[in-house]
Parts: sequence; C-alpha cells; structure tokens
Amino acid sequence: MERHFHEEFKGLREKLFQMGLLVEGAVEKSVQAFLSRKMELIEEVLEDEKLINQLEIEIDEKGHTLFALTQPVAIDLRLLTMILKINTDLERMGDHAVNIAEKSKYLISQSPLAPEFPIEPMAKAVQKMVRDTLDSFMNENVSLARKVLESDDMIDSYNDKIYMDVASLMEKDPQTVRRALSVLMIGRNLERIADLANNIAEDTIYLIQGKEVRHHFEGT
Amino acid sequence: MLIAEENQGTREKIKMGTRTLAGGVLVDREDVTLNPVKIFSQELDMFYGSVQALHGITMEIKERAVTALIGPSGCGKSTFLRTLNRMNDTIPGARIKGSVKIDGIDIYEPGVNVAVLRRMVGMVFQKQNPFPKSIFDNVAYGPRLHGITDKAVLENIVEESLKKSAIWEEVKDRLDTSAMQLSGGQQQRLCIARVLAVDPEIILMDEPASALDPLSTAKIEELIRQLRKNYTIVIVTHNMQQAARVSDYTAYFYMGSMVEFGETRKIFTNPVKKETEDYITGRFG
Repeated sequence: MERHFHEEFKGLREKLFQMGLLVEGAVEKSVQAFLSRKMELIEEVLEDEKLINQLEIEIDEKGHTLFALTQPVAIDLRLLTMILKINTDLERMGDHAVNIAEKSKYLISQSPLAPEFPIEPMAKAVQKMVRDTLDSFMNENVSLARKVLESDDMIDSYNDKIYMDVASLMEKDPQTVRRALSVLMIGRNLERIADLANNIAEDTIYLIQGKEVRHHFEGT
Repeated sequence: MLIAEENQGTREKIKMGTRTLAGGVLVDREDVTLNPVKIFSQELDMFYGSVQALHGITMEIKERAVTALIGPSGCGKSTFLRTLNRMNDTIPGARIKGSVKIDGIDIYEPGVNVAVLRRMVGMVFQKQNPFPKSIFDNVAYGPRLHGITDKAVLENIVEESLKKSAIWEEVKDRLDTSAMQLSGGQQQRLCIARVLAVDPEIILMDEPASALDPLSTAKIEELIRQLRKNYTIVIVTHNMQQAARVSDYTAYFYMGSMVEFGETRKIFTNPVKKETEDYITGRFG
C-alpha cells in the first residue's frame, strides 16, 4: 500500500537530483573555465554554489521533518538517510567546483603554462562519474553505481601524473611555482569530487540492496 | 553543451546559465493554515461533579484539517473530544464553563438540537461497534432514522459511504451478510461509513486504530488523510507516531490543560514547550 507520505519522499528525491544536476553543471563549468580560459564561467559557478547551498538547507530541513513525521523503516529509512548523506556530499562537490573556479581565475590572469597536464581527460572521467552516480541513484541502477566505483583507480593515476608533471615543471622553472601549484590544486579538487561521487555510488548500492560496500566491506 | 542535456531519458534538464530548476518540487503536506476555523473552544472548563477535568481550553480547529489530541491517560483529551458533540451531557454531574462554537454558533446554548449536532459532528470509537445487522443496514441505519425510506436513495447513500470509507471493494458483493463477520479493521471502516452516511461535517475519532493490527491501522490512517479533504477531523490517539503521520495540527494535553498547540510538523520537530518535547520523546511518563 502506498502511504500518503511516499509522495513527499519522491519529491525530496527529485529535489536532490535537481541539486545533483546543478552540481554536475558547476563542476563542468569550473573545468571549462580553466580549459578555455573563460572568465564568465567562473561567475556562473559562484552563482550556482549559492543555489546549491540553499538547496542543501531545504533538503536537510525537509528530510528532518519527514524523519519526525513518518518514522521511516526499511527502504524508507535507507532512502531518507541516504538522501541526507548524499545532500552533504553534493554540497561538498559544489565547494570543490568553486575551488577549481578560483584557481582557474588566477590561472586565466597569468600567461598559460607550456606543458599539457592531463586535466582535461581527468575532468571528463570525473564528470562521467558524477553523471553516472546521479543516474544510478535516480534510476536505482546498481550496476552503474558499481561502474562508478571501478573508475576511482583511474582518477588516482591521473592525479599522480599531474603531481609528477607539476613537480618536474617547478624543478625546471621556479617561475612557474604559483601557477603549477594552482594546476595541482585543480587536480586535487577533481580527485576529491571523484571520491564524493564514489561515496554516493556506495550509498546508492546500500539504498537499493541494503548491502554495505564502503571500505571494501563487501562479502565480509 | 551541458552534460545534463546530453543524457536524455528520465533526467530533468537544467540550462547552463539560466539558473532555473525544472521539476524537483518539494512536496509538503497540503497547507491548511489558511483554512477557516471550524470549531472554536474558548476558555473551556469541564467538571465531573466537583472534579475539574478541563482547565480553560482555548483552541481553534481548522476546517478540512486533521487535528490530533495527544497526552498521557487521564490528561483530558478524550473529555475534550466529547465536549465537541456534547457526548458528556449523558454523564450525571457533567457541566461546562466557557464555550464551544461550531461555525460561530455556541453548541451549548439553550435551544441547540443535540440530535442535529451529533449528526453534524459524527464520532468513531476505539472499539468498533457495528450493529448486529447486515452491512447494508448498518450504513442505512442513520439515514433511515432521519426519515429516508426511498430504496434507491438509500442504496446510493450506502454505496457512496462505503466508497468514501475505502471498504466498498471488499464488501460490495456481500452487503446482505452480517457486519459481525467482517474483520476488526473492516468493521472500523464500516463504522466510519456509518458516520459518513448521515452527511456530517466534523468527524471525531477516539483512538480509532488502537485495537487494530498494523495493516488495518495503516488503512485507517490513509482513510483519515483522504477524508480530510472534505471533513474536519479531530482524533485522539495514544500513538504519537500516528499523530505525526496523519495530523496537520497537534495539541498536547496534560492534567486537563492544553500545554501546547500548533502545526504538527513544528510540534514534532521543534516544540516550544519543554514539557511537550519530554512527552513526545518519551522522556516523560
């Protein structure tokens, strides 16, 4: 039997998804700002972040009210708990997008660095993780969530590569230190976004299957 | 190209730079705060002989909303409920001070027709109490008492009442069988149909689900949410979770006084009074 409050659960889930789309857009814009040196995108990321923060509060408040009024159990309990966790993770992703935008702002104001860092392929992979993790949550797609978890190693190796490239550039030309560190920070923030996408994928699997996969816990 | 736009299917779209979010609307319980006041109890005292059972209850009960009365046993919540259709009149020595107005009319004024009042303000009790008659006759009982004899009219009332109380599908093929053969949950919904058959505006419920299993309880709760679209409902419940799930407003009673009254979502997330918080969190009692 559908209970009258299930409609409220559904609305909350959709709202979270909307927030996810906004985060997804902010991440893309922040990276595009760096890659195509477009200053106007930075402003948009900052605007997006305000909306993201506002949604975080709305979703939190609504979630708490639903906890108090419906005393959820089983799948309802998992859904509400995961919504609140994912809400926090998405808001953090938004913060990382802002960090990327700020570093991009500095880099746009300076002359470009000569070497090619693998920011673009890394960003593409991270964006795909964000997109897939949101879709897996919304469509309750466990296999897609598992694919997200498998992508993490690739992101780490991109991050290592950026670290090595940045280190060797700074050794060769100390004039580049500030700019190179900014690139390093962009990589670092992308890596954190991927980690948070991973968290959401793990939470999605728990939501759907009630199965704990965090910290390689599965099967134990 | 925004990533979100590439991914078609169920995904809602947002456009880069427009700052607008399509869909994803937070669904709240329908806002009833602007509904008119249906029942207004003002400085209501109630006495059983020399014992004062209610102390100065002032409460505005909104039309087409569910108001829950909660509190420990003996706190006065059922007594208050029974003042709303003068059920306490039958108790020797019972008297009130103050007033209860329905649609602005004081129901304790001399000249008020109590039979008409009780038709307008129906009541559902804790223990389901069908008459030992057929399902049809149970529902038709009230309308017949009010003089309706036309068979087609009665049939229509019975069907509509059973539909509104969400039991029609379960009994439509056996309206002539005894109501006593129904399960407890079905009997309770039949009793609600019996109340609806006389076309009330207000329904008082005194622990309507406390004797029922969880599934029947859930059905009654969903029914209450349905009925609230057309009726003003006041429910007494010991089950605080039930109050939270079904009501729009909650009043917390203690020792004959109303400690706190407000929107349910506020009472259950952030009550003003510490006594209310202690009660609903189980720290008291």
